[in-house]
Amino acid sequence: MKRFYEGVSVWPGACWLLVFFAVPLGIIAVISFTQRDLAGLIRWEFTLDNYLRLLERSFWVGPLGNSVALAVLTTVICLVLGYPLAYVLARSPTRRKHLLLFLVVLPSFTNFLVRIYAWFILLRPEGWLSWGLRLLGIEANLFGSWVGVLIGLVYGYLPFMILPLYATLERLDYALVEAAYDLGASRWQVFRRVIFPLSRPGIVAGSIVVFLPVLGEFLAPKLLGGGKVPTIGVLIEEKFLGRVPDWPLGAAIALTVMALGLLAVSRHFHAVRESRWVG
Amino acid sequence: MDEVSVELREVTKRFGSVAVVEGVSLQIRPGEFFSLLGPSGCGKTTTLRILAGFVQPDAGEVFIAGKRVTHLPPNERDVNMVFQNYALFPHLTVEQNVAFGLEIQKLPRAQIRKRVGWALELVRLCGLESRYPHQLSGGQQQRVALARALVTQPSVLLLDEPLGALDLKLRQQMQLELKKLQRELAITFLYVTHDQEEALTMSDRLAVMNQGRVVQVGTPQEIYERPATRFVADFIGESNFLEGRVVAWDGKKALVQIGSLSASVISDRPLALHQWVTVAVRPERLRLCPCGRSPWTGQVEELIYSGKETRYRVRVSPEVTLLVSSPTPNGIGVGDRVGVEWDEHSLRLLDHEALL
Repeated sequence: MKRFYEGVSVWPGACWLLVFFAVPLGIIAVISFTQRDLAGLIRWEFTLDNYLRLLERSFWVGPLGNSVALAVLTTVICLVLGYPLAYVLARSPTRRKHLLLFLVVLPSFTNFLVRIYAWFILLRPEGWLSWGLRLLGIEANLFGSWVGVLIGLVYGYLPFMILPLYATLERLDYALVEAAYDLGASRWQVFRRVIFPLSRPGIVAGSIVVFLPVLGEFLAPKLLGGGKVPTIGVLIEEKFLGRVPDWPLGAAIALTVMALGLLAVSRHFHAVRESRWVG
Repeated sequence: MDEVSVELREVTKRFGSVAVVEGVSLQIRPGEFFSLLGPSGCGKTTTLRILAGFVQPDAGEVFIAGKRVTHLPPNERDVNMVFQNYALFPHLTVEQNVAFGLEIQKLPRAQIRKRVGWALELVRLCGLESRYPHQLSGGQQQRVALARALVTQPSVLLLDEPLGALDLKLRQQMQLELKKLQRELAITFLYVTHDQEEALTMSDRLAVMNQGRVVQVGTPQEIYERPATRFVADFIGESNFLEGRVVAWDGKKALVQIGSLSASVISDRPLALHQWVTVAVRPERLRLCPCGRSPWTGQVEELIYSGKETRYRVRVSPEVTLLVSSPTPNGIGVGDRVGVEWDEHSLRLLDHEALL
């Protein structure tokens, strides 16, 4: 009977994923093997052309490099900023913990596009941030720069790093920390030898959850990059919605990037699974 | 000062307005197996954590090996702790767990290996070096925790109910092993437990705690035979408590009137006539006898047979029942009239107000 309920309870989620993830992905896959018609849409004729065109690397390797660099930097900065926060969060008394957690997810109540647009206003040459920096004697035009895009990305994805980190750190048995102190370890040694290795599943999960979406992100690079920070996400978006659309090629790029991304992190999914001793 | 390994002086700790530990003073000798015994919430674990350095006392001083350590952090104290649930590092093997303290001390590799081998041999865990904690049984984890704490050869080992999670047989076996280990290594053991039998069998001396205070300190025999208060008499083993008034006292013995009956009790404490006192007596120090032999007679109301003993509840007067324990069943049944007798020195006089 239990099996029956377990079986039934899986279905709504599975159907959802099937309809809204697997099917669209399948459609994209199909499109990637069709030909471009004159309007840039689909002509239903099978071809490998789109993938063959990827061999000519000039148009996508640069944006992909930018995307990878942004994704790596965003992940590292989120980790460095998020780890101490998550630790403090996990060690706070219950009441304050709930308040802080609420604050972490609070920005998500506003649409991401709106928030990135807000950064756009802040980062513009006539925006507050540039104005403030100018007062400090720093002439910096963050809009349309790498730094500007990075600021937007870190801002947007920090909560996604904090939450899985918090989840592992919260489960960490504090007696282990005490045991390490008791055996003579300094604060740093306790962190390096006990807390950090035991929070690795959270680090890996958080990094994946940040790295993969940022790899395909187009909103922040598009709005804050001002056309000067081309990324793979922006490229794909242009292939679908730009002035000269090419749906089949866009689909082929999207699938290829997805495959590369999965390949890059698959090793780490393994690391998450390996860590069953944490539970 | 080298007579004292661990000393607490008037240590107090409050959490909010609740005093968890209040005015606790203890002196523990080097190489002593000393237990803190008490019900849960009595402050014994907090006392241990104050010694380890995890809890800062609000008042009082802590000394370890003659050195004042009241405000030193745990990593600067020459004590190691065996945690209640072992707190083994789950990401490290048995060998790495045991080596942890030595690696922190930055000992040379070869020496670490040697010492770890020694510690694992001590707790009879050789051959399991490369296992992870989750691959071990509860008893084996317990031994790893012990080895990890002993390998750095601290002057004091703190043990927080280390056998609490083990089943009875294993616990009894580990009690013997711990005791043997402690004698061989001559390290001071400070042992926290709520299990009175454990405390009595293992300790050289013990302190009974209740509501944050030390109620009595003594050898197991002193505590069991001469409990200072009603709480101790009740918590350690079992006792019959009889309320009565002193009707005569000659400086050595007192005659106490208990309802319509009376009993003579040895006591050299000054007593006033008509003073209310409590007389405590262990069930196993009472004997059943034929009716005529003792003025204390009555009907057996209840009989509980538990194998190693048979317990009788005898109503000797309308207000008083006595619990009598006898090692052998003797054909007496519920409803039979029996007498109850005892040796004079089995009765113990407690202050009526010493209810703690």
